Order: sequence, then structure tokens, then C-alpha cells
Amino acid sequence: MRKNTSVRPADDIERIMELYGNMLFRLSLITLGNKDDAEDAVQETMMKCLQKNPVFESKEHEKAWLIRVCSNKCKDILRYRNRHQMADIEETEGIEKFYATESDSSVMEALMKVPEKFRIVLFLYYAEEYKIHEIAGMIGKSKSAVKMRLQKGRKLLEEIYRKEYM
Amino acid sequence: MEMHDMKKEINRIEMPEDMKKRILQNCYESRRNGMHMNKRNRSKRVYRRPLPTAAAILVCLCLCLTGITVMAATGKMQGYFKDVFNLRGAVTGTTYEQATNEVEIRAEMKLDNLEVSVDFLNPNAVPYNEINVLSIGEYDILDGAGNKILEQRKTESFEIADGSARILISMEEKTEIPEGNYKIVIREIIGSKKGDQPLLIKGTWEAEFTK
Repeated sequence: MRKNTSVRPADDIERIMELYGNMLFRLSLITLGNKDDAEDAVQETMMKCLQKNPVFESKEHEKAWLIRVCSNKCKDILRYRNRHQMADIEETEGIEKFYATESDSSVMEALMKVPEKFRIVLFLYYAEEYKIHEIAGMIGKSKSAVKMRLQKGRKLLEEIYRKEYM
Repeated sequence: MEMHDMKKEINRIEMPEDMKKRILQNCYESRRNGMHMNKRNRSKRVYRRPLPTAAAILVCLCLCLTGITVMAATGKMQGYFKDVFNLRGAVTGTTYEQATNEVEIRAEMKLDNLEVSVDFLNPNAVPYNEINVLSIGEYDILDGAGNKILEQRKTESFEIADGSARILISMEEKTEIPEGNYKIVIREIIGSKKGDQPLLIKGTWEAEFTK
């Protein structure tokens, strides 16, 4: 991927935010489980886009790049969280606030109980409708690893759902 | 449970407008403050001030060189092992380099023999604790004017006891050497252990003696 040496114009960042902001937020929220960390992940993704100023070949390429950067940022945050155990001073807004609508939210609750590495694959496959080889490229794993994660993630999700919501 | 439900639920999640504004605001602010460093800008920033950079490098170099000189002068420079390679690049042996400060040499003429005492200053350290017998490798004997009167390759081997060895160099064949002050300059000593390859210990040692 080429790097553009000129500075990315301000309206381009707004366009990226308008187009992919929700998707990146969903990805971060599902991976991290709380609003504040998700905001950090999205912001760092946008900053990286601003700093690196990459030249994209297509819209799909742009979206895939953003997903990859965002998922890496989420991993960094999770790693930081594991190494620095913290006590919450005040209750942070979890994902529940965002799906607690009039409809049944048990699927989302069950999804959030699936381990993170399966959650991200399930999100990209079912919500963003990416193909297995595309997900493999985005998360830096082999196709067979993605297939396995998808299979195991589905099984876990089903088990949790049957056990707790049926 | 339908996966379709999950998609519907996930797509219902939207980023709050205030969060969007906050993120964009932070991006603009960091850009205004020049916090988005890219490598081009960073490297420019360093070379924009060539004099302070050069001065800093010079100071570092001086400190390093002074340190090395002080270490050498105070005898803190330690020896080290070095692999010996053949023409094909394979390792064929090991030498111990820069051992000048770790070995002390004295020489004394006794009848027709020159007795060279080799003392290891730290006999319990590697490689001195691993060798049993010692010989002198390459050495010269110089007269008072600095002329080379004898150049030899290797002496016989003598046993090491309590970290020191007495090595005898026969001077019988050199009876024509007149009386006076002489100096032996040793560049190699060879340590051996039974069943092991001899170890070449390199350094420069000088000892004066009188005939």
C-alpha cells in the first residue's frame, strides 16, 4: 500500500467517520464491551488514518484497512487491561445500553458472553458479511483458523443461548 | 436462535452523535498541534539543527573513547574468547584475546636457562581455571638497544601450580650473547588441558632480566 505524503484533508476524515464510524464503533464495542474503551479504539483508528494517510485502491480496501487497524487497537486495549487490573471509579456504560431496545436483546447478551476472539469473527462474518478469506486477511490469521473460530464461536453462542435464554 | 437476529441487533448499535463530534474534534486538535508525527517530519526536525546534533554526537564519542582509555589504563579491560574460522567459514577453534592485564610475567636468568614465571592474577576465573599445563607461544628476546637477538615460536609445556607456572627457556645454544640487560616480549601463551584442544591466550607481556 502506498503512502500519501500530503496531509489528509479535514473533510476526508469527516467522510470516513460518516461512512465507517458506526461500523468501527460496533466492532470496538462488541470486542471491548464498554463504551469508553470503544471510543478510544475508534479515535485511535482515526488518528492512525490521519497520521499514515494511506492511499486506498477502493472503498473495500479502505474499509478493510480501517477494520484491521481498529481490531488491532482493540487488542492493544485488551492487552493493557489484562496487564493493568483496575477498579472502576464509576460505572461505565456497557454495551447493554446500546441494544436495550424494545426488541429481545438476548442474542446480543449471549454474544457478549462468547470469548473475544470468537466474537470478532462472528461480527465480521454475520454482521459485516465478509467472506472467510477476507476475515483471515483482516485479523492476520489463516483461513482454516477463521473457519475454526467461526465454527467454535457459533457452537459456544448456541450453547450459551440455549442454557441461559431458552 | 437465528443469526439473522444477531445481525439486526448489531446493526441497531449506533455511535452517539456527541461521541462522533468529540472524536473528530480530537483529530483536528492533534493535527493542529502537529502531534501526528510521520517519519518525514521527525527526521526533518532532527537535521534542522545540525550544530547541536553534531555537538551531542561528538560529546558521546569523546565520553566513549575516554571511557575505553581509562579502562585500559586501570587494567579493567577484560579478555574475551574469539572463534577461529577456516577459509570456508567453519569454526575450527577458539582463542582468548586481550589477556595482557590478566597475566603477570617475570623473567630471571638461572645458569644456562631463562626462567619465566607466569602468574595468573585471577586463577579461579575462566579460562585459567581450566588449563593444567602452559607453554609460551610466540616470543622475542631483545637486547638493551632493542635489537632482536632471539625469536622463537614455542617452548616446552610446564605444569601449572596454584595459578602460576615456571617455564624454562634453554639459552645453551646462545652462549655468544654477551652479559647485559635483556627483555623478553611474549605475545602468546598456550594453555592445555588433557584431552582438550590447546587454548591460545593472546596479549603483550614484557619482562626484563640480566645475564
